[in-house]
Amino acid sequence: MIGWARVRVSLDRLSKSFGPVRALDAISLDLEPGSLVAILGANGAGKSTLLRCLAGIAVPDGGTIRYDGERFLRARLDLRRRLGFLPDFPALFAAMSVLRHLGMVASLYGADQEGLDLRAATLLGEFDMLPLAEARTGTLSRGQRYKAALVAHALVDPELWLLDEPFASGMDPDGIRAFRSIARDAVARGRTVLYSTQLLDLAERFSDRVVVLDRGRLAAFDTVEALGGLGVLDTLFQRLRDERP
Amino acid sequence: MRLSNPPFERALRDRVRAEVKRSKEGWAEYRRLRKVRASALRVAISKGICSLLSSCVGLFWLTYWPRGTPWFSLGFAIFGLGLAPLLAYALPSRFDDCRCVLGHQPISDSALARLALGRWIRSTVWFLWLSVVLCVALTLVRQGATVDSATAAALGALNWGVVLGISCALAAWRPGWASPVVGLALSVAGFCVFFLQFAFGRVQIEVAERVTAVLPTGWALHALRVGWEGGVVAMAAAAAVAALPFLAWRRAVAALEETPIDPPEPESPPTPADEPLRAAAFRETPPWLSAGPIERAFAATLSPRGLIVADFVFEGRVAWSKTWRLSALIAAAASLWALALVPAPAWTFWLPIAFVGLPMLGGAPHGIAPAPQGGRQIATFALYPVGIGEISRVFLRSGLVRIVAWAPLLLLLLAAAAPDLGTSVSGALATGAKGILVAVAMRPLSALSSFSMCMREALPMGVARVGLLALTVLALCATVAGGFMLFVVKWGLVAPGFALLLLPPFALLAIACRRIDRGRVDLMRNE
Repeated sequence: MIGWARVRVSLDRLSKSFGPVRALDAISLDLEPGSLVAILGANGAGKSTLLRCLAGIAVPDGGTIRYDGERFLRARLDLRRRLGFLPDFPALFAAMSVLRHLGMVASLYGADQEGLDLRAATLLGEFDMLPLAEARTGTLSRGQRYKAALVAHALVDPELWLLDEPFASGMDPDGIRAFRSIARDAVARGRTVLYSTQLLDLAERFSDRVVVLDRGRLAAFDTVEALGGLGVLDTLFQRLRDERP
Repeated sequence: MRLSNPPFERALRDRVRAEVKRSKEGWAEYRRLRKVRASALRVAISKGICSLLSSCVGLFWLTYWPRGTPWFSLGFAIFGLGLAPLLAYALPSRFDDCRCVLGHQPISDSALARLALGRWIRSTVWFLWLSVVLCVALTLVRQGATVDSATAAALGALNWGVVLGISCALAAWRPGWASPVVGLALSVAGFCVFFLQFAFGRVQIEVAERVTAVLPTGWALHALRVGWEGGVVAMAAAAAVAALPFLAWRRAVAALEETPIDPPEPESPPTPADEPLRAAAFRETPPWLSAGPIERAFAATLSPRGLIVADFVFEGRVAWSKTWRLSALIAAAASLWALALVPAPAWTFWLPIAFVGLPMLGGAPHGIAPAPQGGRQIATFALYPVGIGEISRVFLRSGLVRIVAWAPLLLLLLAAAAPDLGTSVSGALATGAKGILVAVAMRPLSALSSFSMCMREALPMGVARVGLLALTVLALCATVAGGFMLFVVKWGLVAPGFALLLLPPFALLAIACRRIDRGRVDLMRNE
């Protein structure tokens, strides 16, 4: 799968409710291939719901998601193989070793190209996971578990990377640095990386564009420069808070 | 659907090992962390022990049960039928596990369902299949059937398939009555039926045979009993029921595809954000305080702070009065059995006695579940400003209140069963009273065992720890000696025996609480 495949993501009036709570309210946006996008918003703004809808885990009430113009439904396994979603608490089979987990994910994505084992070993090395390659995932710490899932994700290198709170995942500074490096490399290869975070400073420096959600609505979607430069997100969030009833 | 990728995993393992072997420390760390095999060995041992235990139970039946009776078949058929709702309860959780891990991976829901079904069936092999095969073989031997081991194994496998088939159907169609409680009740009923042959002997054999022939889990046994020719229909019917997993699987997949896997989100009522605070909803009286007389009696023994701690540790999930009513029914039925119906062997009374007595020994609604006594919740307790001494006092008081509540039932049962037990009424009552004293003395050990599930001694092995272990062993020896003295016929030994029985557990609990308070124990162990 590693190559130059690209995917264009289009959301058209995407909506999702949980009972009386409107988690997503008619979100429309287009994501260009090869972009690094940060999703921001207060707790309950709809960040995780948006990512879950994009991954086919949550079912939208209304609107459509299109990948390269094709409507995305959970039944579309071909489209699901082009994206990868990493929840904030990735669940792994506790009795399975890290190595077997990598093999399982590679099988699911049909990744069998030459040199996959070399890439896996390199990724494990980058995340300091080589000594843990044959450890059971049930014995790993939270950060190590996230690293194991992230290595599997980077190994299959989907065209669309969806990551929920990767910077609040328990990874150590070296792991976060490694993640930023592989995410930048992926974007350079034409992958679209979409992640949610609460760290405004980091989002301003580590993104091409930002999506700001406020109570399920799209409050902003642009580059940091177009929104006003460094520090603008702090001001924007303050304004959104003041506008709330 | 094959989820593993052996060639890739082999190549990656070789590459990883070559990489870590470059440094001696790296290789040592790799070997230290590689726990897969050790874990597999542990699982095999634990599951092997399960099989061994079931074999021992089987050997027990083989030794004591009379030949040629169909009651064993009937009990076994009912027991198998009771297993189905329990297994059916486990199947959806297997689905959930797989969906949790793989739901966001590119795998179809039908493949996911197949995977979950396979894992579920495999999980039943070790214990259930072996037990079923063993029980079938033993049943056949006791019935006087001359069959070879291969036939017994095949019949066991067929019966196992029938149980799985019914379980699958229940999991897929989810009838309201097929709850785990019903399954547990049926299993217990099946177990009880084993005892009926002692009461009825060779009487009512036809009834037992007919009922066995009606139950799907009894068809395989019935077929052999009536002979190969007459049993073909029963065997075919059993095979058809065993094939149900495939039909049920399709139903389960359909249900899975219809169900969106949205994460559960709490519904926010359209009320002002501070409404619950203004209504002081969090200060409402805990619901369990008004649950029944035993709960109220327990609450009366506590201070206001004790009530808060009790509400915290029990999470409002107590139903002692309700359980007491069930125990009273069991005790009354068993007493009637002893007094009016038929003379029964003395040891058959251990079953109702156990049902009546377990709530005293444990404390949960079901009597044996340790959760409300701490258990793994100790890690949660450790996060909040609640003293271990406070928790222990609540546990001890709850235990004492329940012992006082259950003691009359136990004494009533023993008094009624005294002739069958081969003793006088006063003798049975005296034995029961001593048993109650033992239950009182065991309360601290019960609390300690619950705490210890998530505790770990922080000190390395040294003089202090060896001393502590020695003290523990001595205390346990004293407890055993006290228990022995209590049951010695000489009445003068009862009081010192009870004192000796009582003091060490309380001392051990006090030492444990003190060590926890002084920060000598890790409280967050998860495994």
